[in-house]
Amino acid sequence: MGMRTIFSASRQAFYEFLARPVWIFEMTVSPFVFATVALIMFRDSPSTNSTYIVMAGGIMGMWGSTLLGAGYSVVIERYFGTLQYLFASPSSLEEIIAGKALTSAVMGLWNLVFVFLIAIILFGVDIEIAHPLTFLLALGLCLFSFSALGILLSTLFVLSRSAAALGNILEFAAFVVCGIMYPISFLPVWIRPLSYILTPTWGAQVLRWAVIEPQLGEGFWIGVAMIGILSCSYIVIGHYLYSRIDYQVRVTASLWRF
Amino acid sequence: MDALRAAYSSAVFSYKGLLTWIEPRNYIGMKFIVPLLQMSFFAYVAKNAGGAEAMSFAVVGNMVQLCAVTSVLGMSMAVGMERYFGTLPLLLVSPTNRFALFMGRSVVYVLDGVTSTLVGLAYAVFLFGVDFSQANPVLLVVIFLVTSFALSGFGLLIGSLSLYTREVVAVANASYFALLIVCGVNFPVTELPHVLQGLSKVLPLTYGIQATREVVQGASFTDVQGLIGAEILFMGALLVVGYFFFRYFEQKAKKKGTFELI
Repeated sequence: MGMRTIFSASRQAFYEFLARPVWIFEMTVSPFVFATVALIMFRDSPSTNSTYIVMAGGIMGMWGSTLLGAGYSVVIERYFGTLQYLFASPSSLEEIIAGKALTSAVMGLWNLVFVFLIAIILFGVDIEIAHPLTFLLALGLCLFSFSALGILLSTLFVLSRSAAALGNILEFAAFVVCGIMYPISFLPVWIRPLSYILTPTWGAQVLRWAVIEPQLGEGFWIGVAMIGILSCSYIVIGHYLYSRIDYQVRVTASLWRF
Repeated sequence: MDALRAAYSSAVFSYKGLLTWIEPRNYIGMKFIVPLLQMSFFAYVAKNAGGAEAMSFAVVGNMVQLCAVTSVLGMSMAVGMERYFGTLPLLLVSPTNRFALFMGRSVVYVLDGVTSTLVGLAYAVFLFGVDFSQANPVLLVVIFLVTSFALSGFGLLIGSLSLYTREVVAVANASYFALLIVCGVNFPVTELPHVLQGLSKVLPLTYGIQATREVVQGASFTDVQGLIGAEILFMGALLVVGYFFFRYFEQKAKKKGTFELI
């Protein structure tokens, strides 16, 4: 039942993407801008790996896309007045959101491809990946972890009416806190624990190892383990929160509040 | 006189509307949290790329660019939201002067844009330690006002598209982000390819940011009057072009009957 719902929701989300081609434009604007700004800023910085900078722009786009899928899908269902029907259906909302988040994360791969193409064509960047196969596996792991985090954060979108502001904040907050384009040591000490419990931090670390380092070291495996542990934790916490929300919105009848 | 009255009531309704369809907590988030996140992100990227000096450069650039959140996004959405709420056809069949109506509305966005930049200035001083001791505060506020007003002209240009297309949010967001590349926000304009350098010269924000940087380093009004003059000149040009496009898309949408398409 669960997998079928996830698959159906995923397919539905894919059709929604196809029905509105402007998503390609919307999704690629911010990674394009971030990657372009970073490539120009790092142009004279010899210690920085251009491939990693390009990839970081792509990761940011993937994160934005996942958040769009998991969060805004709730907002759109609420806007069209269909959220309460989804809640009342025998399939769980959590599984429906999971399917949508997964599609958005996969579609977010387009960001990575787009940013790579821009870097090669416009900036003449030589894309060099130290461990191509590991890179692909790490990318898959990132997609899974982003989806899991998207499911957890989508609970906020179910409860909140301030979805647009929330979406903007969460998207940018991950860019800042997870140190995708700079070391976490730049951040104030009190923010760093937050960085460590967010999978984009570890996703960036794992991909950095796969792209730059000649040998996969301890940092890579720590990153993989953290992604696994944190993603499972997100799913468990998300499941608990959805069960609480399911009960709460029935008691308070607040789901339709727009 | 009618035009002035239309502009005034439009400004009043715009002010009321700002905190009606934008809830106060959303507004606070957009006013205080998103600017902090944007400034932090580019400041740390700049620090990683070029050290403390590059960080200060990016912080000042982002501080000025923040007024685009309301001046560009707000102004373009002011037109877009009329379509969204289904009031655009009613507005356009009224005999009111459109220019006065939307310029009146821009007053609130201009002032709100300036407050965004002032919030950014507070972050620049207290969080990123940028030194403003040499700056003339009155001159800074004048530059912020001119920049914000100029960007609202740019917002009107983008907003005019919403008379014709449903996807104005995407275009407005893209324009907002494009300013980050083209106007010397995070790196000098000279780092851009020649084509983009040409584009940066017709965007008033470029001059606003450059003037601010010079005032932060102690420049007087005489030193930056050329930049402010250029900013006003291109602001006027953007307003004229924006209004022309507004009328053009209005006619086009009337012919195609697309006002109510959402």
